[in-house]
Amino acid sequence: MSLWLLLRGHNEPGGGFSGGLIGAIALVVYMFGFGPEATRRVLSVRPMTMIGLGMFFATISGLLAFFLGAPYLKAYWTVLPPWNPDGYKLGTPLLFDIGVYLVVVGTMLNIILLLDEERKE
Amino acid sequence: MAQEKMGGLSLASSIAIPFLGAILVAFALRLPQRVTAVLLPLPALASFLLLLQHARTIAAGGVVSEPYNWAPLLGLSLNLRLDGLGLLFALLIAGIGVLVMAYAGGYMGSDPQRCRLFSFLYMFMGAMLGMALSDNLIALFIFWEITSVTSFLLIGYKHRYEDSRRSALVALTVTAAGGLVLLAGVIMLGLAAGTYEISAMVANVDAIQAHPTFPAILTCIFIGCFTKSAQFPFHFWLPGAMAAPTPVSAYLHSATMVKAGVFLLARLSPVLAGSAAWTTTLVIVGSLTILVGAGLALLKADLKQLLAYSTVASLGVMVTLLGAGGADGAFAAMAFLWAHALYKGALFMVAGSVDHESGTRDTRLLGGLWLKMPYTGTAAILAGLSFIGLPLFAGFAAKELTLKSLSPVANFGGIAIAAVVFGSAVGGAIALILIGRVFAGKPTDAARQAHEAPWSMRLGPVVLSVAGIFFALNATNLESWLILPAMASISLGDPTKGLQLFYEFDRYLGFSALGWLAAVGLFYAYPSVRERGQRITDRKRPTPGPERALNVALDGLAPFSGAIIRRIQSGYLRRYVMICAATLIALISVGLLLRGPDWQTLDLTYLQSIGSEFSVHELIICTVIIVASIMAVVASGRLTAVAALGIVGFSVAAIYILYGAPDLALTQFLVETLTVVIFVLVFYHLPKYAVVPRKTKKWLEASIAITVGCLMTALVLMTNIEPASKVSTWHSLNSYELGLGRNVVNVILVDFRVMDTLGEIVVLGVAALGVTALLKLRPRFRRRKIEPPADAVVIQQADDEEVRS
Repeated sequence: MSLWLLLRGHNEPGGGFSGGLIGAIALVVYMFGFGPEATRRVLSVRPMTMIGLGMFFATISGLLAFFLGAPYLKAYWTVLPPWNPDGYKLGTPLLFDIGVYLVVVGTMLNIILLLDEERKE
Repeated sequence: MAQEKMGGLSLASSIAIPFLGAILVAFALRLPQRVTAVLLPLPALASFLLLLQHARTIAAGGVVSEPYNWAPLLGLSLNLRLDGLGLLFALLIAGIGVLVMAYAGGYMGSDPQRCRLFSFLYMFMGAMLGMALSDNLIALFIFWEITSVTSFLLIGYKHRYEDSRRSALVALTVTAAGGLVLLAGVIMLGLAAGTYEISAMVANVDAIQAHPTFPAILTCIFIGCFTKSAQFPFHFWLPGAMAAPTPVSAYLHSATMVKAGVFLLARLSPVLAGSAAWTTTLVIVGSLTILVGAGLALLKADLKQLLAYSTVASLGVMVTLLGAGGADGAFAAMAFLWAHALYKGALFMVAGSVDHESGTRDTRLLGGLWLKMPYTGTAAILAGLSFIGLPLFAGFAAKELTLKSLSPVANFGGIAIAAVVFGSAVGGAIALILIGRVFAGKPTDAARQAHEAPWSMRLGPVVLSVAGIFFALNATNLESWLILPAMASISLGDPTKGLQLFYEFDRYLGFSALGWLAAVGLFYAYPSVRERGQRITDRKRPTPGPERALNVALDGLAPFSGAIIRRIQSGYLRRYVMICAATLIALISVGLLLRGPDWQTLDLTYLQSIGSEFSVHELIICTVIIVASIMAVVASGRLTAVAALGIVGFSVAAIYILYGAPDLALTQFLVETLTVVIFVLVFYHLPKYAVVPRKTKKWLEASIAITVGCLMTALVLMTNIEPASKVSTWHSLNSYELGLGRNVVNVILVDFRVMDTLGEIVVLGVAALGVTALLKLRPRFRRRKIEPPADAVVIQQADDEEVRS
């Protein structure tokens, strides 16, 4: 559901921040049930890595414009499939939003997982 | 004069490919080692070839440029420009980079962390190339700082070792502090010149040099370049940087990064040179550096340290030459830079191979390695002879030209020449030690168990040392293709002497011969000189000097901050919040009062107008909020308080829904949920009592809280009075057209105001880092049994656990 929220964001309520928060909540509920170690295993990447990856996506989403000669971070859109003008619209803001999503999930999980692990001591 | 050619994407790609390589290489851990050594240098090779294709244009006197707009409304642009100087430097960076990456592949073997090193090396390469190719001073500065950071990461690669960490910290402190000063200089220069494009500055030289800030500009830029290129008195970080793995030393600290300061001085010569201040400062500092570097070298026994100090001296030579100025000085400087990169890079790699294969770098323990390591030994000999500066090698021409161009320098020419002769004597001695003691002679124990290095580690030294001969024999080609165009970027005119295989029998040859004799003498005297020197330095306390000062400062910083923090921060969250709130009140009140008395009347009319518009559900929600807030304050248990706060949060979200802001409400709901979760997890650690403050304190806290609330209300009411802003209307109207989305909020976040969001994400990441540090760095002892204090007393020194953050 959180991924759906992410993708929906541009035309309906949603977007990277909300999607990320819901994703984090989902994993937190999992953590309450199964414990932090199991959650980390399910996650399979470290939260810090997610944060870094998210920031990376966000930053490079603007570079496409740069290489095409326009100012950094100008948005570029394309349609998928390319021959159908009413198809799904893909664009650099989507990549940026994915980055936001990852950063939000990473931050929340980092804090909450650490806190729960502290609790065990 | 120069015709400009467009570079297509080649310049930007040559910078981007190493960065891309840095990412790719991070995943190379699973590749077998042989494959790694072959694949690793490929991105560097790509950059090299991309740049090489422009050689013909540059040799003909042309220039390749690629302008890119970054934020045109702010005047920021990343303009890439390849001229002679840039090409020389960039080819060095990329070319030696290829050899270093292959070397690193072999050197790191099966080290589980090796991909970190490779990745950092490529990041460094990309940043260096960016620096060499930037025409915009600000962009150049950014790349400059990136090289400082990557150098820090590379020096501190073995981060479990104390000396690696300390050396990295020292290097970063010196170069970053220099970088700050450089930034000041760059900005002043930009303001004085009216532009940040170096190529455009050349037209304004007279105005710039006459500008009142010019002396400050010179000083700042000098300091920036001196710190980077380890000039006296900032030279001490370079030998410490030898704690890094040898591929790093060979690349950064001999062939490329330390030359960045020299590069910048050369690049800015057309704009800044010409005054007596320029010449005098550079010649003096350079000569001092030569003397200090060469002198200190004689005290060391470790191969890498010997080479490091001699690099300091060589950098001094280059700085002196740039100070000497003129076509001759520039020509000699470029020739020297080229020759030095070749033989020094080779020698460092040889030192690393020796260490890798025999287990030690100590010259006292090595001998007779030639039998076991013929290839490396040959490379060492060839590079060493170039270092000594014998004819037939590139180093000879470089040295002769150096001596020749220094003599016309007013006042200090003689001193400079003497320094150079001394420096080359010591350099020659080091080369002789390497050849005569380490490789020749009777095999020692360490030598007996050595074996030849793998091909990847032989490649670099052999190629570079042979290149030394090659370029000497092909001197005229080298001159016209590389050195002359580079010189043309620095200085006008023609050099009196070009690159030749041999020059006439003049007094400069005599100076060189003197240097050779001295080198031989030093070679024999070296052991005793070193012993005596070490006895002096090892005695009593460490010598006073800039390095000692820095170490004292770094060691003292932590206790110093700790002492201050203990005074200011009691560790109680309550007090922090109170101080924040009180400051908030103060600042906002000042703002309001300055604004004038007109806000009072507006408030009341607005309040009257909304009074009649309340509906039932709004009233209910507001009542819930008020009741829950009161509950949160008077609750006796923590969980109750948090639950009440949660109710407040959810009710506010409900209001958002009522007023048509679904995104906001959604986010509010989610944040509230997560906040409650975090609160609960944190509560586990709090002590089982609460400090109940005195009556007076309670009233103080209550009044502050209420005041903040009133102020916030007033502010919100005041904002509502303003007419709907033009910006938000524009956002709503254009959201679908330009932003292709119907959800205005999201379109604003990721499109119209995406730069702000980028900053916010970074803040989130930093906050995560901070929390991690706070949680992980707590001391791990069990919580002591802490007695609850007498009711009225507030403890002044909090227990350690809370202060430690």
